[in-house]
Amino acid sequence: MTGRAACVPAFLLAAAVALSLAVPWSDLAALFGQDRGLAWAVLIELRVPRTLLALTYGATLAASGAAVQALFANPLASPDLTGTTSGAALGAVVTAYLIGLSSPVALSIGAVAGALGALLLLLALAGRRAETATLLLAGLAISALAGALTTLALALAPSPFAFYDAYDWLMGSLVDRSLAQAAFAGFPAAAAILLLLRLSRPLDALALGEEVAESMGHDIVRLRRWVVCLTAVGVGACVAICGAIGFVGLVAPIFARRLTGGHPGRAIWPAALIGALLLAAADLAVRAVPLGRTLPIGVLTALLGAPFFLWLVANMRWRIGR
Amino acid sequence: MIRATDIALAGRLRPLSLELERGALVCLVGPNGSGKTSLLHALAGIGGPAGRVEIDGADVARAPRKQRTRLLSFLPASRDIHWPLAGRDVIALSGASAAQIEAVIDLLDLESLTTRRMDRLSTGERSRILIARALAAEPALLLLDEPTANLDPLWQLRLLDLLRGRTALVAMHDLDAALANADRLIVMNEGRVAADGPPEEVMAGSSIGAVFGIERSNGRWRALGQ
Repeated sequence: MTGRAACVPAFLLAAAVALSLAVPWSDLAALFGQDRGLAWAVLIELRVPRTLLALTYGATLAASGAAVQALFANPLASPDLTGTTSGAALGAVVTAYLIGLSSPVALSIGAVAGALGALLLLLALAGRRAETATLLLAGLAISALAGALTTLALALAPSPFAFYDAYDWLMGSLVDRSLAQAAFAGFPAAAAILLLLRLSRPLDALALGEEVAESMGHDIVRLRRWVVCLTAVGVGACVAICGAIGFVGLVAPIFARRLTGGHPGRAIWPAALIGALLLAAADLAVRAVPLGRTLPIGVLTALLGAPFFLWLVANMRWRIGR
Repeated sequence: MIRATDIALAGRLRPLSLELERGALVCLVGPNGSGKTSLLHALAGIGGPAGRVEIDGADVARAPRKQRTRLLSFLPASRDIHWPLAGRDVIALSGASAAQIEAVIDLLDLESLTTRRMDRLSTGERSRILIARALAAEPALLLLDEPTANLDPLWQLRLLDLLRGRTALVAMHDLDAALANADRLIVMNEGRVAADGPPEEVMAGSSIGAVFGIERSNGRWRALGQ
């Protein structure tokens, strides 16, 4: 990716961050007004964590999506379509059911374990170089299973309030998270992204096929283990704090590969940039929609992402049929 | 000198040792499933080290990745690339220098193909790009699985010509091409070496008939017993 090409998403991202922190404008003026204490509290306690979570969650989903797509040699692999997000949600719900919602560390560990379980199950079901149909069917089965078990755990919830809280969280939201919660998601997610970036070169070599990559000295078994673990840690940590948000991990890598000439591995960092931008923009859009209550961001990404996914499937079908 | 000691792959390749002279074009023939690809995999370290492979004294399994691209390269029989990369980008994935990439593009006359996406090329054109990828870093040992498959007659001749003088182990099915071009011929059967030596001697021996169930009469290959 050229420096100039990277400037566009970087500039848009900076604009989204600025808007995310400053909208509505009146709040910005209040930072220097008479009630500045309250305005600063709003900025630091509400806006900053929300913006940080949008950036880290978007970047994590997209970087994981790019890495998983490169690993499976399939542009339709992504954390949500492969059941990773549902697995993480199940892990977090089960943990919440067993020990309550009060411990973010336990929730994070539960979500990471759930994501890891889902990814390992996917590898076992779909195989190393998954055909699109097998990958999607295996992902669908894992999502369905995780979804059913999540609903079961919710149905057995001790009180209707607990049920409502968990349901609200499951739909995916960045609202009302504290700085501490943002840190709980942000640190593991940032570490996972940085380590995924180090896998760019072997994942690019994998484009030549597993055998060639191995003959070049890349340890494919270790590479697979790293991608699975880092994706589970990044996605799990974010799901534990913000619930399940879909489609960013599918869409961002597709745009990113256009900037890297189709290279799947070196698309990880532009994907992270685009993913952060997409989720920050989606969060701005959610705030702008006048619905009376805030639309869960997961609903918006699904509303926009699902038609894109359908277009992608139709496009692939046309190409195969041609 | 390339020396492979006690290389084996469970169920596919019986333990064997092999020495290859530098600069020799060695053709590897054998029926389907005889272990040609397995031998190439074992030498390339695919599926983990399958014995000790030394190239000019360097142990391939222990060589750092940068050095390894200069020691050996492997061309698989599959010509599929999973991502829509441009031809030049595929060649660049070899780790070769810019000058080496230009040289190999020139050598295989690929200038018009390098900017096109792999998924928009014919199988033969893709083959040439992938062969260029294997040759680009000028490795000491080339392990090529059916490099002439999908190539038109002219490019089959050109390829075998330009392999001469390089150290290459080439799995192929065309016995006549192997006879005409190889410095040495290895016949594989049931995961072991059935014959090994100068091509004329191997072809004159009984192993070709025994392994393939074919014989040469009046300059043509026929199935035994016909």
